[in-house]
Amino acid sequence: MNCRQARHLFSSYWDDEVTQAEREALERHLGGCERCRTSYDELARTIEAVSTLPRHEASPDLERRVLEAVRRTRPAPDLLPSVQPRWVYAPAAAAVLALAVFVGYQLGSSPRGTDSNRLAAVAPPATSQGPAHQEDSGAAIESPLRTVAGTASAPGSAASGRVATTAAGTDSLFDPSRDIDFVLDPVVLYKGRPRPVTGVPPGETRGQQVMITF
Amino acid sequence: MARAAEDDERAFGEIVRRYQGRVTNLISRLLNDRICSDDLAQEVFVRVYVHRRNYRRGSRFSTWLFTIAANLTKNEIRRRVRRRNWFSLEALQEVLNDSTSVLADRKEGHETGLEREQLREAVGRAIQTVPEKYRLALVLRDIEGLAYEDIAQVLKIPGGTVRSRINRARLMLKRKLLTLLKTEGMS
Repeated sequence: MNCRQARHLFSSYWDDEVTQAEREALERHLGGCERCRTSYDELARTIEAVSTLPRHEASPDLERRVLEAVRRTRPAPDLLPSVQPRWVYAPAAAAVLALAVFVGYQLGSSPRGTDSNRLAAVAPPATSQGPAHQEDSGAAIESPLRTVAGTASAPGSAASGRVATTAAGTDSLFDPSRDIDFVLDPVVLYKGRPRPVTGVPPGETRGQQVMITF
Repeated sequence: MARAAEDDERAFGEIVRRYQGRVTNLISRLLNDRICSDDLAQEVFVRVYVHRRNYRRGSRFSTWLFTIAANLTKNEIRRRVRRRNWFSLEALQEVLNDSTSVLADRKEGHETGLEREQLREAVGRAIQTVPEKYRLALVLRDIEGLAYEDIAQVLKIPGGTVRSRINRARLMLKRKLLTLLKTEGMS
């Protein structure tokens, strides 16, 4: 074993992480090489200087601060009972559509509207991304009420959504001059299928599209 | 940890009590910053809580905990380097200045508590001059006493790399402290 090979083993030898063969070879070398012996001795004292440094203790209030911080990460309790959204199939959607049309008809006897226009006013085109909205009353639509960008909070907590745009005109079910709050259980649309939101950091998150089904 | 995963706050408090000393000491020695180490230690435990359900029970909890602590400390080190608040050559200069003052004040055969404290501070600062990846291995081994295989898991490097980094770190540190050690005659 030469000096270079020996120096490579100094650390492992100190930590007793060498093989028996390496140990014997190194000890033989150290026995005959004063320079390496001195070098190893200096290394040993370096390690001792580091390992005997006094320990820095944690602050007495660290546990309290951690628990307070942890409590802040928990979501706020639901203010209203959460409603699990369910996909609505065509017959149920059609029933709701009929109701929406009826309500829209009752809300305004607008001189400007044909039935199709009234339908469009009740269930306007979505202004965000998403399935195209049908203006023809005869066409099937997935949901009579489609909102756009809203906000949702972490799962299990109450959320409020604001309708960025609402149905246009006075035939709308909603007052376009006012913000509307929704209580939502957020889901993520993945390949057209809803999945519960997981891994969402606490606090509000913003969604690109909100769909309300009954 | 299983109870903590079920939102048992007392169980989590017990985890904090049990490991806060080691985590704080690890961070403090890596950063040589007592004040920041408390804040970072707090962040470590909050992360442990937030990701408690990711912990796999088959692995050792301390290894997982130290992995989080090491990663957060690495981020802090890199942030400081980017801000140029703290540069290894400047730290080395401080070490050399410290060693000079220790040599100048030393009375033969009369080591004072102040000198010992100065030496410890100099050693602590010398550790900061070791590059980050070697410093992590050094502190985990020589200060926290982790086994090589545990260090490999924490740093996610092969065992041979652990061995090599520890060796290089110690040799770097030895060169920096050579003057101090000869003066102190650490025997």
